[in-house]
Amino acid sequence: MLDKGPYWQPLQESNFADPYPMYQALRENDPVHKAQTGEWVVTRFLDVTEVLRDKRFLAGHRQTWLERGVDHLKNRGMDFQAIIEAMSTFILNMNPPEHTRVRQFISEAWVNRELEATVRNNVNALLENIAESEFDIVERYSTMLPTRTACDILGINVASHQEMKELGSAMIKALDPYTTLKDFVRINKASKDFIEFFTQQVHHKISNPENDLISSLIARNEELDGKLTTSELVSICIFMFVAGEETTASLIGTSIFNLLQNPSQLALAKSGGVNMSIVLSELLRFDSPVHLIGRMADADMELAGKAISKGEIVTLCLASANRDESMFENADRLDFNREQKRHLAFGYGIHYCLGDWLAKLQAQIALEEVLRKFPNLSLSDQKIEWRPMLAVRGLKRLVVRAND
Amino acid sequence: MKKEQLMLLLTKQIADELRCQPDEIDRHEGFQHMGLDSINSILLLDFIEKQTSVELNPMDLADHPNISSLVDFIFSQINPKGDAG
Ligand code: HEM
Repeated sequence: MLDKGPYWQPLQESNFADPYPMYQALRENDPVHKAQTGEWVVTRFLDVTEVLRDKRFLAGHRQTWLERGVDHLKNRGMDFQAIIEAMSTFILNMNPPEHTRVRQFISEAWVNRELEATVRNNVNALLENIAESEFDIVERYSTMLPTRTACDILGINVASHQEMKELGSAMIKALDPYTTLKDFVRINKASKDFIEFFTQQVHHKISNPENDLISSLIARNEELDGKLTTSELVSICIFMFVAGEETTASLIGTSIFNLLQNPSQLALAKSGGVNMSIVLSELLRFDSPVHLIGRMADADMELAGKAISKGEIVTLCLASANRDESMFENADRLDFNREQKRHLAFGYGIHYCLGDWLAKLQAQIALEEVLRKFPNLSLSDQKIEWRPMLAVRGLKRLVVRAND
Repeated sequence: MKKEQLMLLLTKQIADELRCQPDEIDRHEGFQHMGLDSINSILLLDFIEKQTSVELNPMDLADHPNISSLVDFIFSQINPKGDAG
């Protein structure tokens, strides 16, 4: 419809498949862009960093918006209260001083970080099940690994990893801008199921503590002055489950895709000629799983010459910042030999990702092992599909050939 | 459904969202100017889908920001001849 239309068209079909030309147009023409929907869209590296560093930009506007939405819908006879309960203690949406307190609480409780054996175990279990010559690596591998690992970390036995994964996918939609009524329905259903499941788990572990994150959160909570309620603990569990799932799945799936599309870089990675941590860092920069995060201005201010008013929303395009030519030369090229610089894939500032190390550990083992088992892995002719998601972008389907 | 019918239905629905009378709504006035925000839009979009089977997203509302242009857009999504549903 809108051929040369507004720059910001993230929901257009072609932009789900490849949003990078849109980001580039924004960076070059209007790096702090007032979207037709009212929010500001920030696409350059230094502007994104500036916002994340500035205490006057607050987290949590999505939560506020959902609360208003739930209220409005309640007046029309619809009940979506579970969403608010499920998200009550998502630290991503909190601000200091509560944020500081809860972030510290989680960090202190999360003591068992020896997870290599767990991850290897899960990777092997998944790879063992793949015997086909062509298979969807997203469905069978990249989305399943983080789910299994999250269940192991939290110490939960689930009837179906698949079901847990689907709940997580539905829940993460709550972080996307532009929520429809159907989204409310799906997020609410996932919220209810999550609350029910984790409430049971928390109650069970209060009397049967084990060596896992939920038990450790419960124990640490007992030592706090202002204790968290069970409902708040449940919300923390939900977030710890969801935060690492879709994101890590995206990193693994997208990385396999990008490696298979860049044979010279794939060969370089396989040869051991570059350190795997550099490989991962470049894969994270080149195609960052988290595309959009948001903040709200708590005062009138200026950003790159634009006047931002108190109360306005800024959408920060992390994936665009990581392709900013003024920071990264030939930014659109995957290059393991490029000069190492900080990227923004895990955010920046006080909300910096708590699970970056775990994501990298999982992705490294997942990539190494799949390439070891299938040395001739290649893309099939089948259509590649991206999920219609904005905040966390990832593949929906990637059929590969094992070529054993 | 004819355009005029959908126009009337939408006007009524928007009046309902804004708690005013349909005759107070101007078809060419911008949604934002009317006070229709992203929260009100949730039910409006759902209403449109139920009436026409056209699934719109909140960005479509921003790109076609008054009743008249929105109805044109909805019809362009249904079929080029101008008959909906
Ligand atoms: C490749 C995978 C991952 C990516 C790209 C990623 C990215 C991010 C980003 C960009 C943020 C900051 C959001 C903001 O500032 O608004 C964040 C926060 C967070 N991430 Fe991750 N993440 C990943 C994996 C994980 C994993 C495995 C966990 C572990 C459970 C995790 C837990 C968290 C938590 C708890 C926060 C909130 C921190 C806070 O608000 O203080 N993430 N992540």
